[in-house]
Amino acid sequence: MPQRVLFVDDEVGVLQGLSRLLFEMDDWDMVFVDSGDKALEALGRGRFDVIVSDMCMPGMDGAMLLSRVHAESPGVVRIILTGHSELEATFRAMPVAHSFLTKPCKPGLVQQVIGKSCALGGLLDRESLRTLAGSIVALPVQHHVHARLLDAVAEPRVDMSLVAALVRSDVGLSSKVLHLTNSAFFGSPCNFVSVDRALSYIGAGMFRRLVLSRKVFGTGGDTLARDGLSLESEQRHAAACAALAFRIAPRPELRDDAFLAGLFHDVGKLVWASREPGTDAAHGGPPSRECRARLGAYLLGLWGLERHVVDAVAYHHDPATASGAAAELATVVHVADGLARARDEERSGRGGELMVDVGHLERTGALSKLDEWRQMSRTLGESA
Amino acid sequence: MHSSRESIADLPSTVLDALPLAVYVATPPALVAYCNRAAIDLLGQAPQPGFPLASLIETCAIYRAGTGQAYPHDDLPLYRALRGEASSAEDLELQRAQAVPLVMEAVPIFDRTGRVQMAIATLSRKTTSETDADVSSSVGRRNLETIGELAAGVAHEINTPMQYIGDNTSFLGVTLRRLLDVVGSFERLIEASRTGQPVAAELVRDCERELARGRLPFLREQAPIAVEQMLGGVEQVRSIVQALKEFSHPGDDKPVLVDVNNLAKMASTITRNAWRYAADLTLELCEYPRRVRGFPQELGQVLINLIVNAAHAVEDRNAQTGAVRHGKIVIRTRSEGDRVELEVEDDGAGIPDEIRARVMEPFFTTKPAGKGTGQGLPLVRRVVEERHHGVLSFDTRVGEGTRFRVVLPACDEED
Repeated sequence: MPQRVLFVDDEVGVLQGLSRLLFEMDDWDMVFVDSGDKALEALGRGRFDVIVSDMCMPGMDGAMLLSRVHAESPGVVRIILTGHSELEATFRAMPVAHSFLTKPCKPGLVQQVIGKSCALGGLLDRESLRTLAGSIVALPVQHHVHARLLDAVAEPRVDMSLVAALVRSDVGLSSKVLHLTNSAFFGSPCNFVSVDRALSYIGAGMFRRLVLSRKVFGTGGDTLARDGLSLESEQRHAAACAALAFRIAPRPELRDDAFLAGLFHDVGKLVWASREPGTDAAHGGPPSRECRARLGAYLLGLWGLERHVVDAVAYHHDPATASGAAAELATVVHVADGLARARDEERSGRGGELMVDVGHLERTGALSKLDEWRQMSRTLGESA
Repeated sequence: MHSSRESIADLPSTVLDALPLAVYVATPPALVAYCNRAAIDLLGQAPQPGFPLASLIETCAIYRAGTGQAYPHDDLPLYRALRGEASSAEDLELQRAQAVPLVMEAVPIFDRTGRVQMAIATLSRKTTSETDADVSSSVGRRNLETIGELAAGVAHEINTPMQYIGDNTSFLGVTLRRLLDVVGSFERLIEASRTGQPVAAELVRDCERELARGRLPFLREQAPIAVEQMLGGVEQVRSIVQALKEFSHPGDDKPVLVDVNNLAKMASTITRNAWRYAADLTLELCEYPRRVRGFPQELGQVLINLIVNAAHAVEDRNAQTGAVRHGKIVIRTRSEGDRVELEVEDDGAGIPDEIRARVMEPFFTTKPAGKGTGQGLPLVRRVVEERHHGVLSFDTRVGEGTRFRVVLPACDEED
């Protein structure tokens, strides 16, 4: 099935330029319209995978249009392509856009960003789950972390190392910070896999504005209780898994990727918990844990995270399925997840049995290190 | 007395809200506890209690006058009051399109143990007599600020054509490669036919394949339009850069002869992003107007202000009637006897009777914070009347529109 892409711009020259730029993209079915109203009409008539909208248009502007698309067709990937350099416009687009491209766009970037979004479809074949991921604007941030963050940015001179520690400790904050930098909200898209680097790129002043806008970072997470989860314990497990993954990464250059994949490995649980109550059946029943992992990975992909990190999250329950650069990373997260879980159970006096795919570890030569890693996990747990 | 000040909630907020003075209350370490109505109006922000003071100063862009820098927190009277010190400062500036000079006074309030319980500050606009009286220097500075205000719009006007110039260039690059492939296959065919041997069917198939891959019908139709649009885009960028150059280099002290038609073209180009979403703009320029003697940047400033106001008037009319209607703005030049006239006419909301007399007063504005500082028309009048010995007038009908007219003495002589 061809990917359907809708372009919206009030300047016909821009639309025609794009149609010529992309004239050889035979597997894309492209529609070009010159207003927000026509875009909504087109969306009402047929299925689209991606919308690319200008920001400044008479009547309904890009941010308003994408809010409508978010509300009415959340499964459509939302991209802004704007000539505006005003921060105000960026801020308004932040809650509703997956990516933010600025005109004039580097050659090849438009194709690359649309192509990346289209390629994510392979992770999730259930359309209702893609729609669920597309409706997510931000992941929940723990209340006490958010409060400490507000205190930190209230200081005249923001202590960025404190901020970095807070952001690293929270899945909702880390994922949003990387979303904003990697999806080009502040200039060219970056491929950051380190929260610290992303934060220093954003800078203290801008980060303060992000926090104070109160529209960028999510709060809540109250719906988690429905699935018998608590945000606190999910965050604790994510942080433990990230720290372990960092340590057991087979090569130093994989450490940042491993940390991130470890931190985000259960994002799918948060996404699934955000569904409307009573819609389980409409989603084809609760997803398997593998499917839930892909659901989280799909959202991270929409947010512009590197594909091998996305795949490591997607396949952390079944690392044998992963291929390419992600295979090694998925195995690392798989082991870290198992070790962190076993340690938690041991502490609370339950079994503490290590649930890992022993066959896979044996085939990949990782089994011999398992005892060493388990010891490492215990040591890390004691120091934490 | 003391106990009645225990909590700010005890103060009747209706009284505070009725005060024509902006009042801020902060609590240690540096948090906003309360702002009255006038304070919210002045800064255009309604911070919630507990909002950090530092961010209020940053987001409202309170600067130290003349430095272009945010006001240093430690020196701000409100911070000093939090440290137990009463003080005032007259060098504050609200960083807007045109800076708003402010005065802040603050006092601490102590609790029974002598610790600072809260700090109260008032913020008021400096009255005209307190502001910079030097017309020529302030006109020059404001000129740059308005260009600065337009900068985002100008960037948009340049970025948009750059986008399609880039896209079309990429397209033509691919087109060229495809065409060269076609040419290459034909060259091989010709080369083969020279030998006198029968031409291999494979070579013909190559030509056909390259022709199909080249999508010639599409290229034939699109390539000429692409080139035309690129040249149009280049022309748009060129005209904006030209207008920017004319308006933004600091004015000479010496007056020069100014062509009002050129002025009208430049001002409409540079403000395009401000009016294009609200209205169509037409130029009705007389042929061969006489020239005027003066300062082109300042006169350009006059037109920019009037055009931006006209666009806002159209938006206001739409906001009032709830209709989405594309307005009309006309810029007219006329040259009669020894006078040259410039008119900016809109079909916007018009100026209501009760404020007609006040629109030329400094700081008088009906626009929401951030959109106007009430210095546009006073500046226009100063430039026209004090700097160019002209006359500024307007006629207006509520709900139908406004026409501003600038009459300047004609002059054909260089110095």
